[in-house]
Amino acid sequence: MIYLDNAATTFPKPQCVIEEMSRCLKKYCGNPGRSSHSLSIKSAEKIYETRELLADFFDSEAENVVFTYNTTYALNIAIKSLLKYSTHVLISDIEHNSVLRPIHKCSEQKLCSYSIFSTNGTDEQILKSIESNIKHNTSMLVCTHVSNIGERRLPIKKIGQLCKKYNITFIVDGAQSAGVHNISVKKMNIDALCIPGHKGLYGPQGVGVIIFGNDTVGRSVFEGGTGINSLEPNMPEFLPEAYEAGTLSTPSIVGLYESLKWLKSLDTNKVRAHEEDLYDTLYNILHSTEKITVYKMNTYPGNTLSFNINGLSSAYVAAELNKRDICVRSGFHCSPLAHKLLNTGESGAVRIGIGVFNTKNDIYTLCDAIKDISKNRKIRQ
Amino acid sequence: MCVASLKSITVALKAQKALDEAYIDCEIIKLEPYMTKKGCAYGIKFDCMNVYSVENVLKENRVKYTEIFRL
Repeated sequence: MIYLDNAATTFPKPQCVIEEMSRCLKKYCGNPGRSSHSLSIKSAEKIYETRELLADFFDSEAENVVFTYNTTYALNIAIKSLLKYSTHVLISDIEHNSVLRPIHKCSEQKLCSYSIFSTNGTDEQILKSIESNIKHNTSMLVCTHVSNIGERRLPIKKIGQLCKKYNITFIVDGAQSAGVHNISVKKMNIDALCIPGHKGLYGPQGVGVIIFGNDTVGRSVFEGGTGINSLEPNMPEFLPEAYEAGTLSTPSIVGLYESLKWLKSLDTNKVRAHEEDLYDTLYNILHSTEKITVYKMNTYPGNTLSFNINGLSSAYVAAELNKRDICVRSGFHCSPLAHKLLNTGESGAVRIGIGVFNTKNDIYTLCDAIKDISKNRKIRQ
Repeated sequence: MCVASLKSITVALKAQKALDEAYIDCEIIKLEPYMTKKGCAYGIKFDCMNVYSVENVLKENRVKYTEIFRL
């Protein structure tokens, strides 16, 4: 089987992740931060060590690392807790529904208004588009770092500088970039970086993270038990507990700890170079193949590429690839804005997500399969 | 023994790590109700003869404690 749906979730996971999750469930999975017995403390210690590792990875403080269940939860919490009511918000034209929907909902509830800036063109053109959309009451900018359907990457360091200049809260969706691109919360002036454990960090599903740029706490989004201040009716007003109501997913978090150590030993720069090399190979083959439309959003490489075989639906192509033991994703990838940009707003596309375990042979086999499906379309339809 | 009361398990773990690195024995405990007015809370228990060292290490590591109790 060839797995090329790494933009949805990376697979397989490193063996160390599987082993530690299993060890946790067998040996020490107490409820972290709820008791003082050895199992509870051991779980809490492992979680704290993971906070430290994440803080080191993304240049923040351990206390500013908040665990959630996935990036969508992270984004919802960051957006809804830091949003200043009756103000204006900016998002980009390639946002995933995990950004678009919470912002849209807030606007429907009259909590804010929002505008969409263009990500087309050079960094300077993107910054110009942002500046031209800033209003007197713009208080928040939420954008993805890297698109989930192509290689487009936003200049988040420059956007962070712009947000600092205009005193705008800057929230970054790092769903596709965490573990692939270097991100410094401090140097990039990011107020909240929202990332998944299960994509480029190669951890398990069930853990997402918000890494705050400072220890300012907004309003709570979820309320419940935190293991502290139990006699108070309100949530604690300090990080990370302010945003961590209920029991954390200890097995997923310790799995993430192991994957972070594993990824660090590989060096993310080398991982990115490997994936971009495979991307270039894939792009060059598909681009020169008849009856195939490849959607290139920028000139640089990435690790995610979308395409269509002319005249065939993306669902059909993905199903045919699955018959050949190749896993890819079809449809709209929860990104209606970006698909609109690619003129695939009605048809969707087939997405190939490259991961660290893929090889050149995987790419050649995929390309042969795509050519075969394209060639035999009449017979198969 | 003495106990420094801390606002959360996260801060207690930070304190424990800092004290471990300074070779000061300590243990994370749940606070007795008389030590906290807000309900469940954590603290670190250590030998009272180390109280000044503990205070210094916590200060150096920017760990804020609420109070130190003598048991």
